[in-house]
This record gives sequence, C-alpha cells and structure tokens, in this order.
Amino acid sequence: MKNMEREKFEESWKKAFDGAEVNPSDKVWTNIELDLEKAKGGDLKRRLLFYQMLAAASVVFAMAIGGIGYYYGFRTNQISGDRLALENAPSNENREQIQTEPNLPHKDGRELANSDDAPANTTNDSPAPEAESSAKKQQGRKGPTVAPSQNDGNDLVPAPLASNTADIFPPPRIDLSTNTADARNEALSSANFSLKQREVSPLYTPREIRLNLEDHKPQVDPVLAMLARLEKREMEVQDTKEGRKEAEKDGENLWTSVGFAAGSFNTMQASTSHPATSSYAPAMAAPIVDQEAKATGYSYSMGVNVGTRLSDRWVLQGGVNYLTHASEYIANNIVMDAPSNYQQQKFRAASTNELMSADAQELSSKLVYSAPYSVNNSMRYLSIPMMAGYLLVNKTFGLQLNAGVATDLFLQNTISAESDQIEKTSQPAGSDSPYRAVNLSGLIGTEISYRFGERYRVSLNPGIRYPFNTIYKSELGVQAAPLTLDVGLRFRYIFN
Amino acid sequence: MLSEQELIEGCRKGDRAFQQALYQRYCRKMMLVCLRYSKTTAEAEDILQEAFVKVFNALKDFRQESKLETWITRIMVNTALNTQRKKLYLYPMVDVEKIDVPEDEVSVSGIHFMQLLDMIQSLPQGCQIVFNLFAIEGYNHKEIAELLGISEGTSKSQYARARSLLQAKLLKESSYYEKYGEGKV
Repeated sequence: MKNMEREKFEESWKKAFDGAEVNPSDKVWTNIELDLEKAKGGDLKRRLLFYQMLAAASVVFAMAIGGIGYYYGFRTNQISGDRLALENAPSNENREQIQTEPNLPHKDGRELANSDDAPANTTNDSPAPEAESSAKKQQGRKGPTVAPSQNDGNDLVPAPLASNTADIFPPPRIDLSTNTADARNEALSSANFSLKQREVSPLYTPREIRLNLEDHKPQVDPVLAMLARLEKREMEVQDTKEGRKEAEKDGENLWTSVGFAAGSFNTMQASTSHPATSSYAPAMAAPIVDQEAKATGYSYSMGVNVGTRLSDRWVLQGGVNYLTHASEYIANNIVMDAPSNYQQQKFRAASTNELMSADAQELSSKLVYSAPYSVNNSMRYLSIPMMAGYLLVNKTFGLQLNAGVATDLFLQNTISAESDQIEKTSQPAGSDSPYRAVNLSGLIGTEISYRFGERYRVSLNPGIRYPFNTIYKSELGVQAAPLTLDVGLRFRYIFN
Repeated sequence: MLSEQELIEGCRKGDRAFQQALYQRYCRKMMLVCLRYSKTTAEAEDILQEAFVKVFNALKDFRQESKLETWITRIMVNTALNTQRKKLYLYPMVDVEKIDVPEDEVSVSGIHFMQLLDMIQSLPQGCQIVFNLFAIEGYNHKEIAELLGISEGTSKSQYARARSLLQAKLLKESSYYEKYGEGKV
C-alpha cells in the first residue's frame, strides 16, 4: 500500500513537470554560438598540433634510427678493432696477463648470476603486499596482467644476455697453480686458441632493420591539403609574375654599342699579272704594285652599332664602322714631281695610285730608282656591317655567334714613307683611284659578353672579315683581297 | 516546421541555422531540467549552455535509438551531475538515520510547477539530485548509486529525506491554500 502511495507521489511530481517550460535568457544561445566557434577553432588548432607533434615525432624517430645505426656501427668498429688486436700475436711478457683476463669477466658473469645481494632480487623474493593487491585489482578489472616474476636470483640475467656473455667471454680454465713449464705452455696455447676462436663466433651480426611505414601512412587532412595546393598555386603565380619581371628586366630587345677592333690582315689571291702601265714602265712598276697588293698589315676599326632581338635567340646587328687597313711594303722607286717655279723638287712614295694616274711617258719620267724605303699604305673604308647573331648563352655572361655581310665603302688611301723628304699623299675614291669604291665582305665572328649593369654589357668580338671581291679595280689587272682577323671590344647600352 | 530528422541532418552538417532551430525547439524544456538540478537560474543557464554545446558536438554520434528529446535530456542531466559533483564532494551525502515522514500524503496537484521547482531547489544538494533522478528521471537507487558514486543506502536515505522535506513544504503550502486560496500562484 505504502509502495503504491510512493509511486503515486513520484508520478505526481513527474506529471507536474510534464509539458512545463521555462525560457532561458537570450545570452545562452549567444554563448553557445561562441562556444561552437571556439570549438571549431580549437579543432583546427588540435589538427595543427597533431601535425606539429607528428613532425616532432618524425624527427625524434629519425634521430633514434640514426643513433641506433651509429651505435651499431660504432660497436662493429670497436669489435673489429678488438679482433684485430687479438689477431696480433701476444708477446711472451703479456701471455700471462692474457691468461688471467678471460677469467675476470666470467667471474663477473657468475657473480651477477649468483648474486643474492642485488636489490632487484630482494624485490623479486618478497613482493610488496601493496603491489600484490594492486596486481589482483588489475586482474579483477582489466583481465589478465603480468604477475611479478617469482624467479630466483639466477634468472636476473636474462637468458639471451647470459648466452651472449658466454659467447663473448668463453671460460678457458687455466690452472695457474701448475708449476711445470710444459703444462703452463700448454695452457697458454689453449688460451691463445680460445682467443682466436672468438673470431669464429661473431659478437655482432648485423641485422637489417626494416620499417613498415606503409601501414601507418598519416592520413592527409583534406582541408590542409587544399590549403597546401592553394599555397602552391599562389607561389606558382608569384613565380610566373617574378619570372616575367625578371624577363622584362633581363630583356635586351634594342641596344646600341660603340667599340673598336684591332687585328691584322693578309692578302688573299694577290696577283699582279697585268700591270696596266706603259710598256716602258712595267719593269719598274711591277714590284711596287706587287708589293702593295701582297702587303700584310694591321686593321683598325671603330664605330657604332645598333642591335635588336628578332626572337628568343636570334638578333640582328648593324652599324657604321670606320675601317683602316694599314700595310707596309718596301719600295725602291720614288715618284718625282716636276718642280714649278722656284719650288723645291718634291718626291712621293711610289704606289699604285701614282701608276694609275700616270700615262706611260709620264710614268717613265716620274719614276726614279731610289734606295729601298718603307712605304705605309693606309686604306680607309666606311664599313656598314649587317649581321645576324645567334645567342648561345644569354645570361649575365653571353655567348653569341655572328655572321653577316659588310659593305665597305672605300674612302681614301694615304701613302706615306718613312723618309722626311718623301711627301705623304692621299688618293680618295674615284676614277683616279685604283681601288674599288664598294667592296663586299663576309663577316663571321663570336661575341663573348658580360652584363655589368641593368643597361650595360661589354663584349669581346673576335671575328673574320672575308672579302668577296678584290679591292682593286678590275681593269687594273691587279687582284688582292685582304682577309682580316680582328678582335673588337664593344660597350653596349641596352635601351630595353 | 522542420522535422526532427531534418534538424539532426542540418546540425550534423554544422549549419548554424539548424542548430539554432534545434535549440529553440528544446531550450525551454531543457531549461526546466537544468533548473531542477541547480539552485539559481544563472547556474541552470550555464548547465544549459554547456549541455547544448555537447549536444551539437555529439549529434553526429546520435544513433537515433531513442527520441531526440530523451537523448538531449540525458545529456542535460549528465552535464548537471558533472557540475554538481564538485559540490557533492564539498557537502558529501550521508545516510540519514531517522526521517520524519508525515503521515498524510500531500498531493502536488494544483500547485504550479514553478512553486514545485522552488521546493526542489530549496532541498539540500544531495537530496535535490537524488530526488530528481529517482522521482522525475526514473532511475532506481542502484543506478543513482553508480551515477553518483555513492552507496545504494545513501541514495535511498537521501531520497527519503528529500521526500520528507518536500512533504513538509507541500503541507505548509496546502495549508496556505486552504487559508488563502490559490491567489498566491
């Protein structure tokens, strides 16, 4: 009856609250929202922390592996050293010492094995009641647990370790109390044998450590992976932008250069088979024409060039150069001009110029023999090269191959002799000049350059100028084509 | 109006609108639960807040073996018990040797639930919890003992004391009604 009343009482309380509601204040939901936001942030933090911990664990693991590897490597080296030491035959003085040594570790091993004084042994013999009870509790709650070892002191050294100890320190029993020399020697030899036997039983066999990491691949968080991809993409875009800037910065699309070149020339295909002189003069004029045509000399040029880039690798360069070919030859004739009123007799060096402008009678009257003297023939051209270049290397250091043609407009040549009494004469291009007004040459060269600023580049230009035609007029019957090898130095200013 | 399933799915996706809808649907009932286990409204609101955060976080694990309301109520009660546990350590429950139970059973009918709530809140800490668990949540004393880490006897005695105190309060209240009518409520 009473129980029924009680149930009625409880039921009435329960019913009293059925359907009842109380409004919480608005701040509750606000706080819940805040808590949820915090939880979301905390989740991210936890993930970050997890990855940080993972990274730290990886480092520790790698260090541990390294440490183990180093330790085993060190042990191997140490053991090899011991073995080497043992391989060396012990001297007679040390033999007795060696005899006694093997006993020591063995004894130690036995002491360890038989020791009853070790504190651990005491613990094993009389386990604390608290420990026992806790073990029982653990058994009761969590199922089977490892019971404390009931072994006696002899089991303190684990079996594998004990066997290793036996391997390392085999117990050669040598009775030192033996008095006879034979017996002692026999004991010594057996000890030595036992030492050598150690080589047979390796102290350490290298084991291959394999880590099965495939089963424990960390799962990549998709959000972090996405962030990583975005970051990578951003970096790529950044790199592209920087690359463009760099390309714009490094671009050499239009430039100008000033420079000079120096070299030498050798005359190719020189022939003077038909000197266009009078019948009286050939004997005298031929050597002069021949020497002048075959003369070698120096080449100098200076000028301005403009270059532009056609494509990534191809460039086009052109410009205007003032080219001088200076040659020397030995003459033994001079040209003697007829003196005018009260004027001193004038002498000029013999050259093709004089021979060209003179008729046979005049030439025979003009040319006189003289002592040999050195004549300098300086020929000046206005060279307009046009070259295509291929950029082999286009960095701070540049390497470029050039090839093209040059139109060399003959300006004039000057004949000067080393004697003060012989006047210097100049002959411009024209009908009086034996030289062609326009010459065509092929140009081949390389350009080794160094960029030393945003807009400057300096270059060395070794090159060959190959003449396509003879420099003399065809009607003269003299042929000479100077092949020039020179090295130029140019300073380039880069516009953009 | 969103169905319970829709609410659950929305909350599982972390949609704040669905979470708010779920909160709005159950917060008033749950506030009462929290008030029964606490002494003040502020304390009840703290429990409510903490419990709802747990609800949203644990909703993905909700297997729907029970009604959502029942599941949320369980979380509310557990959260309340967790918060009250510290107080239980401070004021440990002891077995009551002698309980004076009024002879006449006083009915709670006709008394507003807020008054009843006041009565419950006025109970000593241990009595309040045990009474709530036994009389309203429907736990038996063994379960209560396990939940609170007390003996079954302690639970029984605490409940008996709570009942006695409530009877006395109800008696007092009913005599007041008899005298002044229901105008008080």
